[in-house]
Amino acid sequence: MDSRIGHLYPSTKFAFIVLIILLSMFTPGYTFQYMVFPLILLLSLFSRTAADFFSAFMKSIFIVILFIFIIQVFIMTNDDSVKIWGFIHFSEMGLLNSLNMTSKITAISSSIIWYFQVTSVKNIIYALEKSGISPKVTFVIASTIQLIPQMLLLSKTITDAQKARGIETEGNVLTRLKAFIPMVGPLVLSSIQQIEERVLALESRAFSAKAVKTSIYELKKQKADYILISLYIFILIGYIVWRIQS
Amino acid sequence: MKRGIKHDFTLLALLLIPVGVSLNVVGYQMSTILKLPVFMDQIGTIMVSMIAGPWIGLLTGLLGNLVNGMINPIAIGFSIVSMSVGFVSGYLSKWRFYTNIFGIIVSCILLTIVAAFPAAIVTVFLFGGVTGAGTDLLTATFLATGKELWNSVVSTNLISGSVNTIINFGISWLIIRRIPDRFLIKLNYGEPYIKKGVSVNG
Repeated sequence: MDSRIGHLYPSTKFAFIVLIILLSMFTPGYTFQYMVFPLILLLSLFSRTAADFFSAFMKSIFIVILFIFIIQVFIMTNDDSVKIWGFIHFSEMGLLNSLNMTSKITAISSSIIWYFQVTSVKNIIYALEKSGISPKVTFVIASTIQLIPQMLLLSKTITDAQKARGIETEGNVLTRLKAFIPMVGPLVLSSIQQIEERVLALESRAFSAKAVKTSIYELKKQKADYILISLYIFILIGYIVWRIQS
Repeated sequence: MKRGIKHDFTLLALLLIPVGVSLNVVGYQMSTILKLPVFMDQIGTIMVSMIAGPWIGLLTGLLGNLVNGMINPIAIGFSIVSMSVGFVSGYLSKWRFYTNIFGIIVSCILLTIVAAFPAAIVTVFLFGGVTGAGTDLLTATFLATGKELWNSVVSTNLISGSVNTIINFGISWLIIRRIPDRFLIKLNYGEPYIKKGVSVNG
């Protein structure tokens, strides 16, 4: 996030992925959509997140794409299926279908992964609040993102404690299922206790007050933001004109 | 007590949303640690919708999938599934389905259907029949026996979904029974779960 791209205003980067999504939805074929992946990879090289981006992509999207090809091309029976062996067929229609589908998935998901890797949550929350979204909504989003790692840590502690007291986490399915309640129960109860305290803390700081709030954290739009936004609009108009003419 | 979209968003209910979302994540992690064959990634959504109503349940489902989607964008496509589970479960709680055994059976069936059909629509139209989870093997088996794609995905979702729903619901119900009454009474939809035989005002 500490890079030239990382310091751009969140909405500038968001407009970029909206542009990518629009272009990949309305461009026929699959060449353009597949070209988005190397483009994003190049961008993540510039923003110094290439390794993270690549591993996140491989872990989530690549498996899905592989499965789509296997199911659509080899297993599903289409009108033009040619039998190879047993239940395995080859179908050209399925291949075309999966190329169309996976190209869009690749383009859209890689841009979303990249966006969240180069934009810090703090900046997104700030930009959301600036754009007029209620502070209640932004607070819920921010605290969700903060709470997940905390709860995971707490659940680890509780699991260790219950193991020390001799809970059975091995054995048949029923035994393991029974271990679930003592592991999750204390977690929920302690977080509910925390909620009550947090409500008091927030209300004592006038969280529900209707007055306009100021922020100690500042993020300003730079010259590059305005240039990029006008560039996107220019590209979009050019694209629409080109699509209507052709 | 006034209920409905205008009255449900109390500060207490809003603060339950992050807990529900994290509970979904923790539940998923725990079920992989315990090597369980089902994924308990809806406990939080069901629990929150039971005690805080349909709208908070819907938001919990949406936010959970959006947060997951930051790492794995496939989850964003499936947010409609958790949203409908949270929403329907909230209304079932409002209509007091969860207070008797007959209602619980009906609501488990309803929740399975409500989760299976949106999931099937998303799976077929956006991802060509694939979810990226282990249940794809089941879909592939159905396809190999010559069934159509739509048919196979719906059957897979109904089979894996019914087990998932029953276990997710059962665990959320057990957890809610352990929540202290003084907390339940503050929530708009918590009243049916207050233990009988305890005088509320005493």
